[in-house]
Amino acid sequence: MSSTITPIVHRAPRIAGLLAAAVLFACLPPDAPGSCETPPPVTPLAGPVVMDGPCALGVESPTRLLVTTTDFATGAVSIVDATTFEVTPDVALGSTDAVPAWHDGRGLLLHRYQIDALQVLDPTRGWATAADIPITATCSAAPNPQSIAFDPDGLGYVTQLDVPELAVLDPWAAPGEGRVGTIDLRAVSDDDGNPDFGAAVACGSVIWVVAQRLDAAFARVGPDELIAVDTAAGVAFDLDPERDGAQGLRSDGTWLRQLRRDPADTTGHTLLGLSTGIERFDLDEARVVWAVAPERFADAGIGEPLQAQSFAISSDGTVAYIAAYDADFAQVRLYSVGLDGAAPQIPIAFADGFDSVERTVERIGDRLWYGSTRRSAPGLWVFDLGADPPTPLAGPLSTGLAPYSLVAIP
Amino acid sequence: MPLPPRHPPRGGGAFLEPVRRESSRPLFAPTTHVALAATFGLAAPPHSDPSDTEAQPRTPYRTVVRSKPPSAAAAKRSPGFVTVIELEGPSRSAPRDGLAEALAAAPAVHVRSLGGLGQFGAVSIRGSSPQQVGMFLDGVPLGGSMAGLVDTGEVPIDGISRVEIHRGYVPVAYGASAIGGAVDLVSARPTEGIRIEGGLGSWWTRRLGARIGVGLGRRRPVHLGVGATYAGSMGNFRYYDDGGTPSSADDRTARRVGNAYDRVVAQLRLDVDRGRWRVGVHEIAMVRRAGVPGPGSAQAVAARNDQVSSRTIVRVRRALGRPGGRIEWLTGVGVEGRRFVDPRGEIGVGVDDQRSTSIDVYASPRLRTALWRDAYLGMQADLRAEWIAVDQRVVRAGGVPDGDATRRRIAVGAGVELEQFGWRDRLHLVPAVRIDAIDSGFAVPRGRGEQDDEGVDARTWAASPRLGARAAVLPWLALRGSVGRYFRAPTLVELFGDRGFFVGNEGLVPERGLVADGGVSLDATGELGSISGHLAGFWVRSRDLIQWISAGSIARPENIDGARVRGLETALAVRSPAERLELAVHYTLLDARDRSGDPGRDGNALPGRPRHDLFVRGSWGWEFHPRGTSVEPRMAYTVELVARTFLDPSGRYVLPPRALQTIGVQMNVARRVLVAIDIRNLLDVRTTTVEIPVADARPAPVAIADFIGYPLPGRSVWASVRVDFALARQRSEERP
Repeated sequence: MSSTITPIVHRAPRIAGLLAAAVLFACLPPDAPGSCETPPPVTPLAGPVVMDGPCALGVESPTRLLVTTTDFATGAVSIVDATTFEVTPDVALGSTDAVPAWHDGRGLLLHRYQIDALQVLDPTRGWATAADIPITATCSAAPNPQSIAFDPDGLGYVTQLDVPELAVLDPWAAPGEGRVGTIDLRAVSDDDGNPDFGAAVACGSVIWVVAQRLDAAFARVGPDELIAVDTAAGVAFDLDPERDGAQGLRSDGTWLRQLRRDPADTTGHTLLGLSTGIERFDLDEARVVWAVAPERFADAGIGEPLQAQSFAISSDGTVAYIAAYDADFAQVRLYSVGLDGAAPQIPIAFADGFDSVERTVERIGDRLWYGSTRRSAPGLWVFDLGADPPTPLAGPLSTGLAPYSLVAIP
Repeated sequence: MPLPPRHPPRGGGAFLEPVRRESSRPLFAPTTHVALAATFGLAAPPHSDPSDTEAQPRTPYRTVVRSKPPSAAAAKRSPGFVTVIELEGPSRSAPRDGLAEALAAAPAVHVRSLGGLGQFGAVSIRGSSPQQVGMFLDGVPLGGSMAGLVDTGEVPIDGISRVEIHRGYVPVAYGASAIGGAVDLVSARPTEGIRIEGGLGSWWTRRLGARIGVGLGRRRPVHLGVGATYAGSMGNFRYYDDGGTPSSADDRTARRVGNAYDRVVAQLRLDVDRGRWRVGVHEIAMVRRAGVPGPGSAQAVAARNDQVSSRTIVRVRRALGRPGGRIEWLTGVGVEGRRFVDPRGEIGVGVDDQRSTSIDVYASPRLRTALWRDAYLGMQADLRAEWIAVDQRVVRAGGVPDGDATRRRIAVGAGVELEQFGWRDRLHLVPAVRIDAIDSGFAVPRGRGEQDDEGVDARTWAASPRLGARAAVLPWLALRGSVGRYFRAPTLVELFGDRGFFVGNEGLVPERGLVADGGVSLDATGELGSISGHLAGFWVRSRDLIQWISAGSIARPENIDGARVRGLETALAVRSPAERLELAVHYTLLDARDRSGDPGRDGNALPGRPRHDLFVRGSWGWEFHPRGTSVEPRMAYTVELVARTFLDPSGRYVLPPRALQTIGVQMNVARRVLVAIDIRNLLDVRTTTVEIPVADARPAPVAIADFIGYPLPGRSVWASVRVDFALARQRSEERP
């Protein structure tokens, strides 16, 4: 019997050697993605910033809503007629993390974390996908695009949370040619080399982008800033030569997450921003003041940075409507608050019992639209802003999957 | 010298070790016991766990004829539906995929994997969630209270002799949380001799192990076993990358990265039998280093989940009074250090370097004693204390909670189980009740908890009554049925959150599940071989299910209404005489529905639970003796078919039927050398087509997956060799 197994036993060291080699080979680190071998940062331009057009935030006279929906497994797009409240669900496929936008007659979906693509929808062809442009970066496996703004030539500038650059895209280009280039913005980076870009708005050929100043652990290491970028030169402006590095307009709040045009400013160069309060950014004067101070938010119990979700402004620019979580994140309430000391000075809740993940507040005319993911009643809610407090007109209007983010469109 | 045939002829073989009956009357005729004849020396099959039968005197006879494994006999006696999967044996090679592969051979069990060997796998039984499955090692609970589930990728099966899967009626020893069922991994008693085994396969999957077992003393009352195993894989399989987008323009074939793992497991087991006493000590130490690859569209290359753990299980048992009576003390002590590091922020929110240390102590006195005629009373109490300290090494600026915290949970439970036999032991009725009390604590410096999380300690208690019945209407046919109420307590993460992104909810109540099942089982052995199987229907109504809700930038758990699961499971196993031909088939029809009340989900199929699950395995082998040496080749073919699987809660993402085929060839020489080659996913199925019912959507190719975005591997080859050596004393005993 032993003679039968002896030859096999003699081969055992060879087999063991093979296995050992396999182990050694296996312990070598896997191939890593490409490293950041880019040129040195470009020297910023000196201010002041001269804008050759009004800031393009929102559309004139919207009549519909473009809504991205998701159950966090799949995603889709729904269209809502703001006049008839008719919802056309599932007009196009989306994703689990898609932010909608509108430009030049087309719908845009910015697919964010770990999807990293821009999808162009053509409403004249039944919302068929007209283009799909991957957003890639040499330094990151997931650049995480956040927002898109367009210059007068129709080029889109995409902020990316994980990369200190703007991706320049041409959504109308032939397939495979949508990626035009990048704008290196390392000049405005903080210590971790990444300014963590979020929201963006185009004011003519100048793009203002929000640098969120997070460290690698997503903790805040500095004030949010609005950084101006000259798209023609591909360079950021330095608005404070006294300080090192390129400087922008500093927010006094925490987490500047959404920008709106100030309806009271006809030049279109004044923005309102939602953070731990509502700030007014005068881009011409490079001045930042509180329209609603953080103390007022705190008085209403919505003073922590993660609570506020999104906001909209009344047509005359005197009242803001805010969606914000309770401190324990049990529900979202909708609030109204007067700007610049107008009544109500402290946000007053006029609806509650909602949930939301992204920006789902829009005003169309005298109606406020809000998208809720609340499990018991997901969908869109409509409020009559002519009443005080605003009263519900309809809801929940089913959008197929629960609404994730929305934008008003013509 | 020619070796005797391993399998005695059916019906005429000697049964030198008949199954001990726990009742005073014979349960079944001896023909229901499947005889297995072992052979000389150290290649003898592993001994069964001492918990199931009384000690048998061990004498160095040349030929040892063994009864059917006691666990299988116990499974037949149970009023529930119990599947026993034997992992060790003279003709079984180690499963390459470990526990996930082993569980796939059981009816109504479905394992969802994130893809690749050693990667996360979650067990579902009869449509349950993974948290509703109790997982045990030699009766000691494995699932930690932080996450509340057991990742099959982290559970080595080295040294495990069998897996017992309890469905329907679950004994009180397996706790209260078995809404789906319970899985007990039963370790092997040391087998005398030396075993060396190794394997090599696709993607540099490798395995190398050795163990030695010795029997000490003249009559060998002491058995000592020591072993160590290394296993690892690069996991760098090719897959179809759809970029995570609806468009196919960016699709490509990519290779998985960051998916490697290495694991070393060392074990020591000591068993002492002396008189009516039995003492078993089992120590398992593991070091594991594993990549966390992320989704296929955005692979993580630097994230890791490393683990160092030690678990000690001590079982002391003394036979008590009449046969079947015993008193027992079971203790388990687990210590674990874990490090999750995500230096590039590829997996979670920002970079991460979280280190946790946990201590888990389990103690359970148990008593089983005869009460009156044909009745036994089982009583058990158990105490489990867990302490987990989390140390977040990434310094977070701006007053953001750093995640450091200490959590603890103390759970006390007690159960009573009455076993009443009747009608000449053909009737078996088991009413039982278990009461559990759980105290969960959270300690964190003030102001450093989660968002507005006060870290209020949480206490809960619940009773879980259950009733099981078995009626043997014929010697080979039994009816079984059970009804019971089970519950799952919220995990510590669900109660107290984690790092600030997951916000806890101390107001959660336990998930509750009402479980009922019934069916028929058959088990017969005759001249033509053996046949066994069952057909069962089951119904589960879960309430207060805990689900995570996305709330702005954070996630918080809530109780939702629940789910309803019903289905049919059937299994059939046929063996020809001498096990030349073996055929195992099981099929599960599952109807698992969301009952959350969410208008977008209510009534939809629960994700990840295939409506149809078919498993077929056939093998054919024979034995011949050239030049007096036993040679036993065997070929096997397996097909696993799942169909009608939704991967989303909204009923839009349904996978086409998926059939994965495996062929295997093995050669057992002299019952000491086993060489095997398996080819899994024979047809190299890597993609499937999904059509989401949205206006402009067309059928789109995607990678095969159990979770959307996490591809599963294609065809793989696994070759293994195992050699058993006799110790000097055994060799001398073998000589005539």
